[in-house]
Amino acid sequence: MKLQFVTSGLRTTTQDMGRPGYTHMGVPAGGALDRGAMQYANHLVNNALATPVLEMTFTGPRLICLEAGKVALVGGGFNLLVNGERQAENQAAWVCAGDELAIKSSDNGCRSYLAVSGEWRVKRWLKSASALRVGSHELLPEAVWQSGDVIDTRDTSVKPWPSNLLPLRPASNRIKVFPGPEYDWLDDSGRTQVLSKPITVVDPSNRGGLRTDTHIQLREDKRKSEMISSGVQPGTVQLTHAGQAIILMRDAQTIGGYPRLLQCASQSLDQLAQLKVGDQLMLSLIGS
Amino acid sequence: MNTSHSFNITVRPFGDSALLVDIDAGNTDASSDVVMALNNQLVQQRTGGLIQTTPSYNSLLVYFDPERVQQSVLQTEINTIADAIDVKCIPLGNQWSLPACFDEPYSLDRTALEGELSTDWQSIVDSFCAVEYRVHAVGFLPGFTYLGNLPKELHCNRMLDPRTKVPSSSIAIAGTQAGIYPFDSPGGWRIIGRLPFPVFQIQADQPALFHPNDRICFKAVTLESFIELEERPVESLIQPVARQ
Repeated sequence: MKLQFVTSGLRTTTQDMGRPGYTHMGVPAGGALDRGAMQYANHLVNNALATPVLEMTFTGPRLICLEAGKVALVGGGFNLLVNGERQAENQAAWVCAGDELAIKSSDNGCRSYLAVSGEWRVKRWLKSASALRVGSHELLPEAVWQSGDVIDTRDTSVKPWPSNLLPLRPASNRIKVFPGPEYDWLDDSGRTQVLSKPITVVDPSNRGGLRTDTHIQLREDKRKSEMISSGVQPGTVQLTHAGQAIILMRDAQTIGGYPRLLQCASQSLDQLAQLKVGDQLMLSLIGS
Repeated sequence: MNTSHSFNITVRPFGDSALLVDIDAGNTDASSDVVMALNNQLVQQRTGGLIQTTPSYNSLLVYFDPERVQQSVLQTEINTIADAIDVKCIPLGNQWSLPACFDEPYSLDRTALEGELSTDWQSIVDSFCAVEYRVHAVGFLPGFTYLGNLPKELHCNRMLDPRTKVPSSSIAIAGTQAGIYPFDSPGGWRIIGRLPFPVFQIQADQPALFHPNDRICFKAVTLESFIELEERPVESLIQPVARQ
């Protein structure tokens, strides 16, 4: 099918399962932040689950259909309108040439994913179609959509997936965490601060990390300790010298020099993807 | 302490899909040797369920797929590999001899460093080019190259007020380290010179030019030669002296 961007939205990117395998050269795996939503959207349009999708944050695009096919919007923060008519949530919609699609912000959640039926003809870098921005540098500029661009997919006859394949997780702000490598740099009061209170997401928060409103102190004998740079992953909770906890997201740097207090469970990464500035979350230690 | 191999190793879970390996072999170079040997072995033997690794100084982060390998099984495997490491024959990475210009307009922090290190620019450049550097890690930015073995007389402070734009291919020093910036990016390290080619090429299959465990020497060239080198095809400039 073919869809042309009339407007692009604030930042609409192609995302897939990312490019694992390159952290030794400093390239984060990246990919869709909410994997559950991305895969569910693909499932709804009978695509292979790892097919690229559009990831939208804050403001969605307007598109015009040039060639018929199926689309599905899954995630948080947006509604899909076809010719002005709001579509049911988490369902595929057939659209025909000439139909107008608008993806409008709603108030819950942060990121939505639009699956488009067929095999995407897009540029890939290191086997992935995912956009990756480093500072102000786009490593795969073709993955950032502009008005006038056309999403072009080749229709494939993928067999329908069983409908019970991917139950969507209910939204929750409780994030399960494991102790991180420097967890013992916190004393009891530091642990209470990070684990027993709601934490608020603050600016700047993006695909690289969620910053929080915390002021956490390390154990007295560790306050002046300098760490030797060591590996970090998506979901690592780092503590800056100023006492701010930062939860790293999928586009984060691959090594860091701040103490790694906690590590979010892999399954929590999708929940984190739906948190925006002002939202609250609770970190809760697994097994406690 | 593994007495036959003279290093300490701890392998511990870091979340549900990674293991963190910390190595202590007495000093950074020796620890780094063990990290690199362990990493090579782990990657070469295509351990089932292994996704990717991040070597850095004295640690190795190992990402795995918990649906394909159990954390405890991989933990045992890493310890077994470590047991077999012979610290006397650690493979070297590529060796590079790189032309670099340390003159205006690339030596952005010349005046500040002459002040802080109480010496003249020529001595600083001579000291910098006199040693061989080791790539300890590539990260922070894709392709950002962390170099260890900076001569003591060049140890210096970071900028209090980091630059909003460090030009790509800049050579920088800060603390006890040197580094190479792959892109125009913000940065607080002291900029002393520049390479006449990119160190991260997006079009390449292996976009990062340098890898952990490579060795790098710098050769100072004049501004005239630098400008001439910039116009040559990249491939003619950046062949390693010796390949792994």
